[in-house]
Amino acid sequence: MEHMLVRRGYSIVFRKRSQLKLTSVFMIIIAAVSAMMGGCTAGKKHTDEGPLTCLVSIQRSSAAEGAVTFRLTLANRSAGALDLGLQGNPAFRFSVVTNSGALVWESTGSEPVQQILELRTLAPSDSMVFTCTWNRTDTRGHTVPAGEYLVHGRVELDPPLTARATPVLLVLD
Amino acid sequence: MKRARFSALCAVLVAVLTVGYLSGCSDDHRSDGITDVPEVLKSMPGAGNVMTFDDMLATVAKRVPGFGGAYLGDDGSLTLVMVDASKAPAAESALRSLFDMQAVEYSSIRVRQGNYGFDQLKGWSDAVDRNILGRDGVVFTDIDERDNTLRVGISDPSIRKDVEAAYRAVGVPANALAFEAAEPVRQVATLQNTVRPIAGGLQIHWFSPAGAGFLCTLGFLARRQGVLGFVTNSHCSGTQGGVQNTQYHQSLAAGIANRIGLETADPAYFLGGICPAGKKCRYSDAAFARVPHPAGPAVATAFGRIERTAVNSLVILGTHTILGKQIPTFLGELVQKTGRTTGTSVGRVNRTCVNTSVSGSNVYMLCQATVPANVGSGDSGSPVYRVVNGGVFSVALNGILWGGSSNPTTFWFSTMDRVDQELTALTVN
Repeated sequence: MEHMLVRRGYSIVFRKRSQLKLTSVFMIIIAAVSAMMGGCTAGKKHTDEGPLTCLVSIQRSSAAEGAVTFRLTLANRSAGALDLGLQGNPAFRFSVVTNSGALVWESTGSEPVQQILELRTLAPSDSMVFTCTWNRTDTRGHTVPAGEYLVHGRVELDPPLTARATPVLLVLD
Repeated sequence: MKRARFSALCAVLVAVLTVGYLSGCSDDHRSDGITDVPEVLKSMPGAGNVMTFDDMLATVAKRVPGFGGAYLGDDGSLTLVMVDASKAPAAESALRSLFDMQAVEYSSIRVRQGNYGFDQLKGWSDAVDRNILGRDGVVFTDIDERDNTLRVGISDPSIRKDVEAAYRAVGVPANALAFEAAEPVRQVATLQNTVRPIAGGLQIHWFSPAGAGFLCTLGFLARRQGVLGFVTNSHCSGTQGGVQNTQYHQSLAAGIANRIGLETADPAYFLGGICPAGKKCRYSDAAFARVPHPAGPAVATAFGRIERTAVNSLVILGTHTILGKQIPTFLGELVQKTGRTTGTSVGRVNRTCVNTSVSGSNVYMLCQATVPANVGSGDSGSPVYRVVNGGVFSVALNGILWGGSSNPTTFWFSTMDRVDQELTALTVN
């Protein structure tokens, strides 16, 4: 069961302890797939959500020092289909920053991005899901200490559309 | 001449509006839906009585035989071209009756000797134009008021004799016909439009095996093992590495109408050796597609050409001519790229032979080069080249763009030596 609270203006996602075991198994599968895909994956899933929204959620593994998977959902809230131009491969970006705004990690890093443009039509009430697994290291490869962090997510779209999620609070044990 | 034509055309419009609407001064609508039009328009052939500027001058010539045309001279004078100069006052009078001469500013009137009446020139033009204008190499035809001749613009000198014969067949004397070399007229087009013939820098469209559509840029036309085709990125194909028979369209898929090519070469990425553990490597992000597609239409190609735009512009101004391959690419070399998203951007190579991971994948690119210059999604596949011969639109190919990074904005490209090595020797000009 998943609960969402609003804390300090940010949404936070956590699970009851009884759900952790199942979540862990799920996370291992995602992590394995992600590793094959280079760490981050993009998928498509139908939802009943309405507006074109960009929402970040967090799925944690059971190990305190283990990997964390971020999930970004882009949903069409309009009544008509939307033609999207997804910029680059990958088109999504996740970043982890401290409460003071210092960059800890970002999914694309400093690596070059393939300059491809994907054309997608997002039907009303349809959504795309992007996931990315973070191994809890910073941009220099050091393990990130326990504490509170903010997770940003966005999808790079051809103008005028934008897809930038409200930052989500991540608490690392 | 152009100024005079513009002014005169404005005058025609003014005249039509004035006679047709203002002089009526009525709110009544005629039951037959016809508004008042000048008598001269009613006598003209064609639907809607559309009267061209040449029609008007021919009408003057019919009223005043020997009137060969009129134009505004560089000194601002109205020049009347007359076979018989004594009829110049009558010609001026006829012009005034047809045109609103108040709208044409001129300082004085001059008379110049001509050989042919404008109606005669117009008759010859009408008899021949519709037959020759559809021919390849004929760019335009014009009744040249200044030279009192029929002028034909041709882009292919070899057709001149045939065109001359067509005019002679209707009795056009040699001194009434003039030729000039002319570039083919192209509508204003951008790198994102459907453009023929195809050349480097244009947008291409393709689909992944899962059916997702993608846009990239056509790098450059080439011959590989004697087969005509083009080079674009390996990642601008169904799967990066290996041939999936990707079909390419320019600019966008529209059934088979815009299908231009079929992927035929995309070397596999290798593991081990110099390639880091968990990565797959290549030295170039390049694939080759044959043109035309065997199940597609014939495709006009501009072999050895790259579309030319201004910096940061997508509007096609012409083409660059590829003189050859630039091997090697040196640090500090001034290069540019032309791509469907950000057009042309220019910068100096600031890194050579760099090994790098590629974001979001397990691809590892070996020995790549970077340029701090503008790049955007869809530019993948862009030709990277340097201008040679003093910048008169002649270039040498440095390679093919595949990636971009920020802080600062930088594009990454595979150099031509590695493209050549992995796709096997390519002929590019």
